[in-house]
Amino acid sequence: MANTNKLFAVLILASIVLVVTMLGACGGFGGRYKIKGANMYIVPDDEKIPLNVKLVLDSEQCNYTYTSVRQGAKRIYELGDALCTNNLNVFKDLFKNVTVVSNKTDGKADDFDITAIPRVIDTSVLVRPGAPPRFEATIIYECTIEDKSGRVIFVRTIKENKIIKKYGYGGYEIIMQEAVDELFVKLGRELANSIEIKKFVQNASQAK
Amino acid sequence: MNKGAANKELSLFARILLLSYLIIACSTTPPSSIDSQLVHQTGYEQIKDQLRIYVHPLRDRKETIRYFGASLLDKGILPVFILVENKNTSRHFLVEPVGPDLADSKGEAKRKAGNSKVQGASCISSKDAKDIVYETHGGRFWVVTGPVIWLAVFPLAVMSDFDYGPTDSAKSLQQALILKSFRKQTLTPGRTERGFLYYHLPLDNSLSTPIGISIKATDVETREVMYFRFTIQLKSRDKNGKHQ
Repeated sequence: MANTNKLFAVLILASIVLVVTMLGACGGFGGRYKIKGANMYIVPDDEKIPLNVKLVLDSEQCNYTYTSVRQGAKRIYELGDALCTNNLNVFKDLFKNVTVVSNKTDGKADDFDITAIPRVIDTSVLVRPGAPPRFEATIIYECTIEDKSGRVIFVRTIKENKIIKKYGYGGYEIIMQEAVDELFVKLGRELANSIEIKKFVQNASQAK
Repeated sequence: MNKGAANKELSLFARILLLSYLIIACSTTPPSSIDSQLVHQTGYEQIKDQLRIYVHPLRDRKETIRYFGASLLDKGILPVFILVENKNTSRHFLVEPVGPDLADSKGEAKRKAGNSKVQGASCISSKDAKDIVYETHGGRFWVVTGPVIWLAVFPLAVMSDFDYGPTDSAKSLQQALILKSFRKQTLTPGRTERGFLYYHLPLDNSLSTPIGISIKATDVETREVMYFRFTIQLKSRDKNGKHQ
């Protein structure tokens, strides 16, 4: 009887140790991370795309947070500020004139050549245990550009999936920061190389 | 054998056991990325004005495990591979999947998952597919850790609003769903886009399930609209879980 009680106590203790170890080894204890916006590059005006852009950055995007729960540990990523800052920087780098509005219907139609509507589709943070563990952050981001009449001239979905192998809980923040930074490098590249936008500029200049 | 040596052996055994436990319980394998194998499978194709659309439903359980890391068919989700190729030299197209259920409506998938009266397969967004996975996928984690972890987690879950969150394998599956989804794009001449659309299958396997895949292509310049519609009839699953 005494042996059974002892075995039972050892089992309970072992299960508690296991859960604490798993929380420590796999999930951790959660946190709140503020993702920072990247610096703006200075691009000479004569190299910019000659279009007046209405950039729609609504409050939903500028206050966007992503919550990840892993093994009971909650992590909150404050992404909104970085998304809006980086968007503005990318568009200011590439286009001649950029005006930020919070609603698509804001502003006079004649003041702008195009309306850009970027938005977050989905976000994910994943850790694959290993030695070292593999942190993965995924952001699905869509950017739509319309002309004055509301005709869609460009839609691109940027799928950023950043991976780092690293020990420690610092990886949770680093991976999301790197994913956001890389996302806007890709968005900038897509806009700069877009055949759709180049064709639109060509047609617009011919019409003038 | 003396007592000290026996304790040392027991301690080593316990450590190995704990480590193996953690590795087996938490480990996830990244699924394969979309490769040329999918493009060369037997599928359905339509070409209009040099815009080619190819669809291939992943009806084989092994195939879904390869690309998503788990059998989506067992969760009532059929992934359909879509490839769109603009072979034009000058025309630009806006290509988008169409369906009544593609809006990212929260809770809609859950409602459907519990509704056995749904007759045909309906197209769902990657977000809805994620919700279904969250509710149905425990992966090997709960099987492996089951009895021990429940002992500690269950009282917490009952006594508070403790949220364990999705398991790592469920998260891996969710990530694959969003990363590989086919989304609305503008296609410049020569450009190709690929990805998956997800269809929610009726829970009743005896029904033969019609799948209606509809892709809308709009010429960016002229606004001329073309529809590419495919109807694929799925039959009940065979013994291996493969839809015929």
